[in-house]
Amino acid sequence: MTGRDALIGIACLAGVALLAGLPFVVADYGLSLAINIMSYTVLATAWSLFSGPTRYVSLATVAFFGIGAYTTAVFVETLAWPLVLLIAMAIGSVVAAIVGLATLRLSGVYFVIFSFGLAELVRQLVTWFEVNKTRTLGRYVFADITAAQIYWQLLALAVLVFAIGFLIGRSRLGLALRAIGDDETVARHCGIDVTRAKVALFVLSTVFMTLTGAIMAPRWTYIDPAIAFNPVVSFTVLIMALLGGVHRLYGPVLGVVPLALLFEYLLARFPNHFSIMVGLVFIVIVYVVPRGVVGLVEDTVRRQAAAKSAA
Amino acid sequence: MSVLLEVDGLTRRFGGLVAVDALGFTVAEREIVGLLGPNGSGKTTVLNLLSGVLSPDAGRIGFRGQAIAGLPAHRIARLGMARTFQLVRPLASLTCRDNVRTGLAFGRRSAWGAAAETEADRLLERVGLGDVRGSLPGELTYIDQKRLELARALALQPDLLLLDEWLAGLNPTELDAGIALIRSLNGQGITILLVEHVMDAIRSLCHRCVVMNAGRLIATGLPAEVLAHREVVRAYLGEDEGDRGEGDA
Repeated sequence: MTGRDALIGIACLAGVALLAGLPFVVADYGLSLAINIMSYTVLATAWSLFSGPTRYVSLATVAFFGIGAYTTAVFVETLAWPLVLLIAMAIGSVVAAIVGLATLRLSGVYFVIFSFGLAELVRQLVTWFEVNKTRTLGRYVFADITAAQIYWQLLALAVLVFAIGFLIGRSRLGLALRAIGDDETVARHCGIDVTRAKVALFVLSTVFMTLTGAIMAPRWTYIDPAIAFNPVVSFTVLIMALLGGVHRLYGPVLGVVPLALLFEYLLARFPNHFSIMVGLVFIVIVYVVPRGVVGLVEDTVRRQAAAKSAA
Repeated sequence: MSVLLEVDGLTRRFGGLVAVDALGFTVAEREIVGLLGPNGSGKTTVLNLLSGVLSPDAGRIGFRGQAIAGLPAHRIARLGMARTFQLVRPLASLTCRDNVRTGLAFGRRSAWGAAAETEADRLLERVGLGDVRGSLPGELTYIDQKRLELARALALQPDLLLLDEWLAGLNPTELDAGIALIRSLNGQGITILLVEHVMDAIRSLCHRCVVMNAGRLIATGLPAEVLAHREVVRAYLGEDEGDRGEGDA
């Protein structure tokens, strides 16, 4: 077992090293595709970190992503870059903690609707502030950051989100979350402070979303609330995570890669029908692979094992 | 014997229905007390009020001298009160061992790591599930799922164990084993409050019984006494009690 663990560890390190070398071998288009995939990898993995075990479907991804992007837009020219990221983290965490405490007692569908509303609320607040206070709706993001640097930061963030997900899976918090996902009442009777566990994980998950937004902002050069808080991001993250499978840490990335490529293709080939196509993809995924690619593979393996033992 | 649990004036309404109406009783340390009553008399609501699923509209619950009415369930669990559910509720995606580890990790002891695994195995052994540690609850029989739930409750190291019809649905052999198990837990020093309809079990296990009807306390005393009590017989069997003797409902 430990030999296998070591092998997996070495394979992961080699994989990260290979990915880190990517900007040296691909051209601009390839790099921009890689940035896109990497940012969705972080977002979808962070999303399922919270939504996988607790089964709360959150559509608030873009609220935090947008908060990060706006933090960058406001501070990037005046503050050092690490400081900008720290501020983004702080703002994102505070918002997440308030929202978490207020809403994680809601169950199921109410939370979905609230999370969607939250993204809209933040967008409207930012719009109101920009129009009435700063008197300008859009902002230019001039930063001395290259595409390759953005890619590397996202890669580091991806490594971090996987590492934290791995550690949580082996921690008491991980066990608590699995218990909560199975039966919240029983979890409470086992002594688990359900609300605190959920809020802690929600904050952790949204920190990664906020940072992704902050890191991605310089890519656009110009942002306004409609770009930074585009609800399509929330839905895309959701469907990518569902396609891959949310009950395994490595699940979402299996949905991110094919869908990012597919959306790229659809956007190039059918720019006017993109939304319809994406909607169809949503429906197909929910009907055909409800437990995601990971679930599909696991079920097949189990069935074959059962067939073998029956024979 | 000192008082472990003290309930006074406990009331809970659901809309117009008063499910528990000014209920008062006590449970002393190391006692086995039966909470009886016909279906719908409010027994499970009482357990839910004690364990923190529901908060009472009025009344006092003292546990180990501390007022716990309205506290959240996880705090009550950590104070040393554990329960099982009328319809078994195992954590379905966790193995038997992980089910028990959950209780160990967040209960009074906060046990984690190798020590917790050993302890989980010991508890599974204790309830007779030593062979199925790695199985998922869905693969167990009903009685074994009940055993698993008991092991998970024991993992909290409770002073008081609430059993909600834990013996229901067992065959005679399993029932004997179940009764012996409860008795041995009591012998270890765990106080037990059980909601039960199996009269044999009540007679052989309970030191005292508390009988409810329509949310109110109607009798309390030794099992044989309360089961012969006129009000109790009437509550179980209706007005025409006359010659039927004891209330084996």
